[in-house]
Amino acid sequence: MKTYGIIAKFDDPSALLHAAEEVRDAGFKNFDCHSPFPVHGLDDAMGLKRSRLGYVIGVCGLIGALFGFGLQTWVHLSEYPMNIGGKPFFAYPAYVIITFELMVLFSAFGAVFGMMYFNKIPRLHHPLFYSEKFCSVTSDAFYVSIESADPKYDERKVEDFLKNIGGKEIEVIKDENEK
Amino acid sequence: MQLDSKTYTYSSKKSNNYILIFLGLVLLIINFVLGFSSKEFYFSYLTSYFFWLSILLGGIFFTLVHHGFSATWSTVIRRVMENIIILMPVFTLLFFPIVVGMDKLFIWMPSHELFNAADHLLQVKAPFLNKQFFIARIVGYFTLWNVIAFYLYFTSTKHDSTGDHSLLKKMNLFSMSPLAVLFFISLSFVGFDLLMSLDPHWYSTMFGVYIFAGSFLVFLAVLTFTLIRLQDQGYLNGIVSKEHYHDLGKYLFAFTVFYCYIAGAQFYFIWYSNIPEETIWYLHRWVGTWKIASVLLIFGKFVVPFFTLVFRASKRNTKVLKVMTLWIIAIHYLDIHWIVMPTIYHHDVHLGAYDLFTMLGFTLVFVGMFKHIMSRNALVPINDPELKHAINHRNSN
Repeated sequence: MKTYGIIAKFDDPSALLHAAEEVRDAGFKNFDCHSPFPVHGLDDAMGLKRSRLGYVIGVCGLIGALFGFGLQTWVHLSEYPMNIGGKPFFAYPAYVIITFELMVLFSAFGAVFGMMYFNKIPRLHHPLFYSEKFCSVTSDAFYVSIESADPKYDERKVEDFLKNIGGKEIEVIKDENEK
Repeated sequence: MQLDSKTYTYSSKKSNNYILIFLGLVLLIINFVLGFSSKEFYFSYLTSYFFWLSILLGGIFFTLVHHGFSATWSTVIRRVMENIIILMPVFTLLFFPIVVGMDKLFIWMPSHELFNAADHLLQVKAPFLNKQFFIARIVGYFTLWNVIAFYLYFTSTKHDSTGDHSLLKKMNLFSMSPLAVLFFISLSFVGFDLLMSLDPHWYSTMFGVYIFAGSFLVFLAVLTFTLIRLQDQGYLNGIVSKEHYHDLGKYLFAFTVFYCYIAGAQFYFIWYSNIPEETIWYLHRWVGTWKIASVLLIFGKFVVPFFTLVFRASKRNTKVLKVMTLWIIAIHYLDIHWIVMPTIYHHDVHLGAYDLFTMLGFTLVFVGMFKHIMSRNALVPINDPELKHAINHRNSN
């Protein structure tokens, strides 16, 4: 069985924050923090960069706006010209609302599907759940996990390191699906 | 936490402030005397006056919101807002020339030279648009605004000296009282009275919100610019941080969008329904060089700030914010000018000496008074228990 990584338990959010800083400063890249609720400042403590989702949404929004405006121009000018209230066919002020709505729609698609892409979901199972103890992370436990995919990963060293920074109940997790 | 008192004690030379105020008042008086009998002066005066009044009204709104929600992060900038709104009594006095010139400003006044008694719309609107009720409303607005400004300013400064936290609760309750609701109503109606009624045939149900959006946007711009200037001069260091500018930038961005939404909606409805007395208002602003002003307004008040402030980095960069806030302030003047001036200049944009000098006069009075008031008290509410949290305020990624 392939090793997924090592987890260590911490008692409270501040211990988790401190641990995250230590792991970050030790130079690990593939690690994660788990807590039952959002912890303020954890992003900085983990050294996470800002999400690129905003740019994805921005581009999707622009595409949506262009699509909305283009669609109406095409419909009103060539595909199905209709006289509405004596307004000109290319009545661009009237196009603004649909343009805006399609921008919102496309941005929402970009936000939802972009978020799913960056978070790698849908995903039905995660190796961390092979640990019985880890399940308490949804109620009262705080965990740090360091993955074996990390270039600096060395099982014994990582175990010692986690113990040094105050981790408890250290456990090596085997990925039972991967032989 | 110990703050260096130098960072929050503003000092400015008293005599310089008095000179600024004096020069400003002299300028306004000279303008008033020279333009006493000319229509153009009163329109220029109304434009400049409303520009500055909208800043004060936006300030009252933000202060009420701050206290109403017991906000944390804006505690560090609260005193600067209070220093702006306490200029209300000065602006109450400066309203005097508009009362003098109202026969020349408002065509619905029976004493206006072009008043048409046979006009059906004016007859129907007479119960609202008549001299007595107009003056009564103006008195009502200024009473209300002065009460709010005085209460918020003096309770806040009293809290500085006594440290009695029940005063904060009082301001909180005051901001949620019917007075605050009345304030919003008065904000809409002052727009109807002073700007919309310049063309009494025209009406827009959006106009009150339009005035609110513009007022709050320009106030945010003035506030952000003031804070940047204060920090340039070495004040508020370690108190106002990038995080606060980020929040102000978000506000600026949000209200740029909100303004565009309201201004756009107002235009689309009128454009679409195509009712003559409504569309004529926009037609006046779509002929000659007014068309350039209209297009400049669309780009200057929406496109440019939108695509500048949409990025996180520009909201956190005081250099970008400094340029952007000045730009928004300038465009807001264009906005008010664009609402008021086509009433008398039907064909082309006209920027005259009265526009320039009334604006200069108001600016001098405002800056002088503001500096004078700012040096009277600490720049932050030093006894506020939320101050520490506000200083340590952080935005999430």
